[in-house]
Amino acid sequence: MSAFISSLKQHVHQAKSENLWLLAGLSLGLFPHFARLPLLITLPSATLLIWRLLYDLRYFSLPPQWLRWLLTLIAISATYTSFHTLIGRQAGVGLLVIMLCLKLMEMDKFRDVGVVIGLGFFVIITVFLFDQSVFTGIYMLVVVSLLTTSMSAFSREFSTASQWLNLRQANTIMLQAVPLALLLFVLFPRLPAPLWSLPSDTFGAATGLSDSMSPGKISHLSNNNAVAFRVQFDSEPPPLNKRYWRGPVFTQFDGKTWSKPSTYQMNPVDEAAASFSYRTLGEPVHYSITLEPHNQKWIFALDLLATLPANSTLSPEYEIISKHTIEQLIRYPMSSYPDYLLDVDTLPNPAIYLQLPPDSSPRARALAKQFRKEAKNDADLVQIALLYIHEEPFYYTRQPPALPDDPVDEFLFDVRRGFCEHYASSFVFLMRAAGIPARIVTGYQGGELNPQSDYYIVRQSDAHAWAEVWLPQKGWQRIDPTSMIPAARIENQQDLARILPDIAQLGTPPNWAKAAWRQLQFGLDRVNHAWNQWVINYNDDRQRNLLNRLLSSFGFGEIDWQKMITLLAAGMGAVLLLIAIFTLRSWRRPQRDLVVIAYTLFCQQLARRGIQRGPAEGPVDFSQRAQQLRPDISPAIARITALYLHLRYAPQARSTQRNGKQAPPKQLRHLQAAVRQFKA
Amino acid sequence: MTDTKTTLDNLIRHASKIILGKEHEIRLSLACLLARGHLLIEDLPGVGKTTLAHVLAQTLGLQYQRIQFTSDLLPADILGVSIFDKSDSGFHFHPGPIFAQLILADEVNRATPKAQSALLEAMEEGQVTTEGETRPLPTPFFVIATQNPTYQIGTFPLPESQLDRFLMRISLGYPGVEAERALLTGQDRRSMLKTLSACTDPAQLAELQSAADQIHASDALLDYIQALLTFSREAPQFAAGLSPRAGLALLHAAKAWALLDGRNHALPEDVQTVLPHVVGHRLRSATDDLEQSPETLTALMQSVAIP
Repeated sequence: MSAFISSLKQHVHQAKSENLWLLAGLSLGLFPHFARLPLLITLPSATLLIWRLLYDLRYFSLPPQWLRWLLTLIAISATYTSFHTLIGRQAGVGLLVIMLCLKLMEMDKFRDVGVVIGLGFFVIITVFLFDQSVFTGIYMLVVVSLLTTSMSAFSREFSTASQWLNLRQANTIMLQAVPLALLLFVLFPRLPAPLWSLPSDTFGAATGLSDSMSPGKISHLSNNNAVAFRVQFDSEPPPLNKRYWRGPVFTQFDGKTWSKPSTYQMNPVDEAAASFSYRTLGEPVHYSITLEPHNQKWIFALDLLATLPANSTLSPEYEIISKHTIEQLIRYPMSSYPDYLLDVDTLPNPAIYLQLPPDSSPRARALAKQFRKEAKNDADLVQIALLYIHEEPFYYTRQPPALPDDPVDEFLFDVRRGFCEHYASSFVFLMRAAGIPARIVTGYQGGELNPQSDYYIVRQSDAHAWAEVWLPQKGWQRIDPTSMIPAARIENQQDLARILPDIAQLGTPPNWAKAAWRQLQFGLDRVNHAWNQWVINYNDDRQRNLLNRLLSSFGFGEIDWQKMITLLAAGMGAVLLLIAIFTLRSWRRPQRDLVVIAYTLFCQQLARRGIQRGPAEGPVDFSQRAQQLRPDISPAIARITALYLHLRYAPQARSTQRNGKQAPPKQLRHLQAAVRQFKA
Repeated sequence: MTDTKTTLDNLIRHASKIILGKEHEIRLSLACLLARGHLLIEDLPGVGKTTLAHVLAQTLGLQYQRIQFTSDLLPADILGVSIFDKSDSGFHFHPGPIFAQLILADEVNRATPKAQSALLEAMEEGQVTTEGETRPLPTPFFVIATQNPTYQIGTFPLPESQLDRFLMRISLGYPGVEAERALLTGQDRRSMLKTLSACTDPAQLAELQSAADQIHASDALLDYIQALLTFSREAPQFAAGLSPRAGLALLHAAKAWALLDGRNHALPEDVQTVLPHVVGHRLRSATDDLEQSPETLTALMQSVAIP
């Protein structure tokens, strides 16, 4: 870069290809930000880019200095107006983007070009603060290529007619950098915790389940195709009706919203385990989950979990709560028992699970009383309630009407159209009104196997709410009232496929375009999954595991950061050496002329004393320069040069090649002797 | 070898008495002459182009003719014309100014391409064809053309193909401070010219020219010239590389320079000395139509390692 800046050219020309490369790279690099930032930043930045382009095409001149100052002030105030701050991720990037575009207004020296290109590379880094998908990675690689091309074009002493030459040079440099980048990525020691934390607004946009449930909270997720997490089963996956991924559990109802009690206490894991009594049946399933960041502390697992991930605790409702907010992709191995008995003998604190807001929903309470009269026992009552949902005209819909006053009564008796949260909420209300302890469980249900690989994708649209009721001698039982709705009353084919997959398969065969599109999506998801596994989630654990596995056969022992640094240095050195050898390539043709060998030795002697012969410096010129610098050995230099010139350029009868058939001329021996005796 | 060296040194010394402080340029034009090439001097009026031509003609003992090129100059004005003679009722050819051993074609880019080509054809062929009859030009035949810088108004720049006919292009430039003072205080140059005696005759000159041909160019030197040619063809900053004719010109000029230096073999330094003058008018930059600046040529020279 320093050589690049101190290039002979001092001023940037207009309308030269290098400017266009730079502008193309900057525009592409800024584009993802433009799509995200407010119009107040995007519009002026784009205008400035176009201004510079028009200047380079000689349609426009650059603004004078006073106007640049004014624009800077306006830019700062625009950023402040948009974000009410100048720091943080959004505001910082906004300021960076607009200031970079402003810098283009005064880019006329090579120093400025250096600044702009450097900032351009920094902008690329900031794009990854928002999105780290593999596609962004590939896109940014193109931007890096363009910026490097502009660097190559700017650093050229002569402009070249062929722009492919610049592009080729840039891509050669990038290709040469690939092994170095891979080495750094694999071997640079990862820290268990990040050195600095990302700004607090980084993960604000993450979606997922929240810490309360009211009508509409889950249904707004139903159209969200984003991935919640991916699951890889090590053993046979449980059937669909057992694939309930447990998330937040709610016990407290205020007539509209389900939430956790305000005095909610997090138990340490052993204490929590002590407060439960559970029995597991059958074999456990083993699997690992790669959870997308969702900005909450929930960690999802199948019921009933047998292990706890690191850095997490278990709540009394059997939720896994992480110690930290999930702001980054995490991956954890899990085991669960799909068949289990929970709290069979006694329920520790039944009052919590019978709480209802006083005097609400009188019609539902009456219905519960009627159920109680009809039922022989609690289990019978649950069946009666489920049958009620099955037989009365309840509909499953994604667009439930608003239930402004009393969600439970209005849903059960007037509207009868709703989403899983309505069913779960009303069902738990009925159970509690009938005196059966019950609670709401939210989480995800099902998941879709990626047919091109062997993992399941669980999406936000799989978010679900169901009920758990406590029955004597049986403990907590999972009841999913939504599944009681007959197929005919499910409005949406997709929902039907999710809730009743067996029936949905009998429908119309999917057309080939749809099938191809699905296959493509699965393929892309597979790429993303691999990217998450190996790039985004390549943390200290994975690094150590990988390196130990790779290096175990070399007798390296347990890897630590000193060994990683040593390996890294050795690897980088080896790569650089290889590149140097391929670039220089002079070793390919060994010198065979004895005259040249002797003269080269002589030049090396002088070079050791700081008198270096330039590649294009003629022997006479070099001799004169050397004699001036070292008058003390001037005669020796003159003699050697004279012999060399005579042997190399004057007409010769005999060959001076090594292993020649004839004896070499006697001057060659003189030259060799003189060089041997020569001491600079 | 020593005689030739003395003769040449003598020549240069004589010429330098009149053209002050321009020994390098005098040597270059001599080298050009010894290599049997023609010389193009590109410079502003009044820096001594004509005087240089005069001095060379005088010291070498050559016949001298000057042709002033103007926009209305016709080929016949250069080559000559047949005129009817009443006394014997026949046409008699009156040779034009081209029939001389040393021609000064002054301001060659002021004439129309038609007149230019008449001169340039004569330079290439060594003979003149008019009215169906071919007449040989005297030997040696040496053209010094002068040219105003092409950006001046009212000029017809020589096309590349015709520039290629000139072995070298030099410019004289302003004299140094001391030389200028000596010029101002000294005798009138024109009267000094008259006193200048010839150091050689055409026969001797022919010998010198063949001596220049005999100069040895080793494989190492030819490698260097080829490396220069290859670089000019591959480097992106030139629109087109150097032609084989340019390569030959480079070799001949380097040999002549070695002869002037009193050596029987050419060195890379000889090539480097003549390179800007031999190559400068033959290379064009890839990006704009302006010819290469001397700095660019130096860069070309410095990019090619001497093998």
